[in-house]
Amino acid sequence: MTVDATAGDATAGDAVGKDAVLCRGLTKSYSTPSGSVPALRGVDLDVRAREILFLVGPSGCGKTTLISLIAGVLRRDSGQCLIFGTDLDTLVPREATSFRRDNIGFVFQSYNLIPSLSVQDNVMIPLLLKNVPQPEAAKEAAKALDAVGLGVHRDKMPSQLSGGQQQRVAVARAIVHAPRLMVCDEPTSALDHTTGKDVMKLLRSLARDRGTTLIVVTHDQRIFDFADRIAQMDDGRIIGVGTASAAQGLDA
Amino acid sequence: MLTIAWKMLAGDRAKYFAIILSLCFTTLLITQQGATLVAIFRSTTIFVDQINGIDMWVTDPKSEYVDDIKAMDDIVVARVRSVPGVSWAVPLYKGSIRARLPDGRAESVQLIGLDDSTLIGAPGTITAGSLPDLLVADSVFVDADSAHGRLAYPDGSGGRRDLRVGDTLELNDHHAVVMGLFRGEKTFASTPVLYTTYDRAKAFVPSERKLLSYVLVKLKPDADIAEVKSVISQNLRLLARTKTEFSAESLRWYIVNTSVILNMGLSAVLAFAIGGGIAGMTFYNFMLDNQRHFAVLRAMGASPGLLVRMVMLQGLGVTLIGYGLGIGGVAAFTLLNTSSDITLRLTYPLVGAVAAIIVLVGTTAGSLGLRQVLRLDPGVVFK
Ligand SMILES: Nc1ncnc2c1ncn2[C@@H]1O[C@H](COP(=O)(O)OP(=O)(O)OP(=O)(O)O)[C@@H](O)[C@H]1O
Ligand SMILES: [Mg+2]
Repeated sequence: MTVDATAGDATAGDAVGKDAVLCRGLTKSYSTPSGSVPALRGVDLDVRAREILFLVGPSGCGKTTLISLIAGVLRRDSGQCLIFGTDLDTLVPREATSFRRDNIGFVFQSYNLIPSLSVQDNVMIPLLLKNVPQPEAAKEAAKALDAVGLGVHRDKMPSQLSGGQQQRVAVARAIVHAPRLMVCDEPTSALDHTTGKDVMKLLRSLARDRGTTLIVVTHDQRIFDFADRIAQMDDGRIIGVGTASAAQGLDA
Repeated sequence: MLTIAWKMLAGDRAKYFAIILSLCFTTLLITQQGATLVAIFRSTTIFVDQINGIDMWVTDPKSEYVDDIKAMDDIVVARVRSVPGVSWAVPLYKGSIRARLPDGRAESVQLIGLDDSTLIGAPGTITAGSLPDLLVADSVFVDADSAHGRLAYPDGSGGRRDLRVGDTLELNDHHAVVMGLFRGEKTFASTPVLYTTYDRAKAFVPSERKLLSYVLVKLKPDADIAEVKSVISQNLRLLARTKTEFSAESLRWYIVNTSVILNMGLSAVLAFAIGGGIAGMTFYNFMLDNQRHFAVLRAMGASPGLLVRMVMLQGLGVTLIGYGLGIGGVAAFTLLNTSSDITLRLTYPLVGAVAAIIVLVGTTAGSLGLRQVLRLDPGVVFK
């Protein structure tokens, strides 16, 4: 397996087909008072640049753990994991932090917007973290909010919006700094079916437009057809990767 | 991002106000208690501190503190004058006497008799009359607070008015005329204070053989203080103390022998512990409530250093606002306060000490909260 560390640049999107994420033999266990709980037992996974990969599987099979490792918010026990050719675990913490800041966008099941900040301030955060000047960050945030159809709500507080709108704000926050990779953990499961589909549609079109690689953890079979490929997990392992139609038959 | 940090805090209205208010009240409480304590401290030694231009106080050797008056014979003044190193020495009388107003009301007052020829020890701020009037026959000067309060004068129609120049009092059946008023600081005993001359004081006071309370001494520039003290002690069997020593010993006596100061000190400490605890906990809780948001920021690529700066800004911001409001409140109160029964002394060291305490509370709570935030596994963001 060859690794291309110079796989395109963020603004233009990464070259199709190159590896965005490459995992080999990833393991991770959590230590708990009652002993060590294995969450990943040797995960092999390739995610191609610009593809939309769904990660599905029963509850507790390790999906969240896997994307936490990929996004660099958790450290693996063993194995290898390259993100655009970079192994985050070998970087010093400061470099890993700025790698995350520059290359990864996050969408969470529970939105994780900061409730005491306006919608626009929330969306500006990834840019401010990159030291983009305030006025420019505000302009970019407004653009991102327009892209998710919430331009008119930019001065509201998150609590004044519906769940679907809040998740769209979170999507705007995830794309505002043009990351090369977006990781989404159950982005639709707190939403009703139609709203969930709208959010997914939005995510897909934004990812396509910007050439962003998208990893989506989900239980939600009804959105499976948004995926390019679906990776099936069970008990800490990837048990199969296939196309959306193939996965429809599987129990998620 | 620091703007964001501030908005994060201020956007959470309820908690923001709770933190600011508790810091403000803590400041108020500590400052009020501290200022009262300072006022009491000062009141114990004010009589010594306010007489300037002298170097030493000579008293009976058994006199422990300023109000522990063991009268000496008048001849002592002359003997002190003859001690080598003494430039000059004057007598000072201090004692209690009953003052009777024309309507028959009697008040116990403090009578101070100043050396007739120099008037050394006279009050600083004369508000009516002028100091030389003290030499007029039967003249006394009265403190303005008492003139307004305890010694208010019958107005002839059943009411009372402020005592003023020209009014008469009876001091132990002796006729006395008010020739002036002065503004003095409250003494610990807080009775009305009357000034007169030393010789007249002797006339007012029931005939006792000895009446001299203190001898005030000015030293020659080249005098050896220790030498003068030892001569006064060896040859005259009297106790000579520098002004600072006398002041400090008086304060110590009050601290050791009265419970007031101890109790005040204790409640100041309690005010700090309780107020500071509540303020600190409110801020700490804010930090805990925001832990998840800080974790999200970390996941999105905020460095620990940035988080530290954000929390520091939040902590310092609320601390300064709360402190400013609190100290401003006390200052406004002190300025507007005309009642002499509430004594607060807002000194700069006190203002500084309270600032230090409040910042300590803020930074302690901030860094405890910060520790939680930095320890937090960013992995929790997906939970
Ligand atoms: N912080 C933790 N401490 C201890 N055990 C954990 C922790 N996080 C996850 N686990 C355990 O690790 C395993 C994998 O958890 P993970 O959250 O990755 O599963 P998941 O596939 O995301 O599940 P779900 O679909 O319910 O979100 C589970 O058995 C879980 O109990
Ligand atoms: Mg999960």
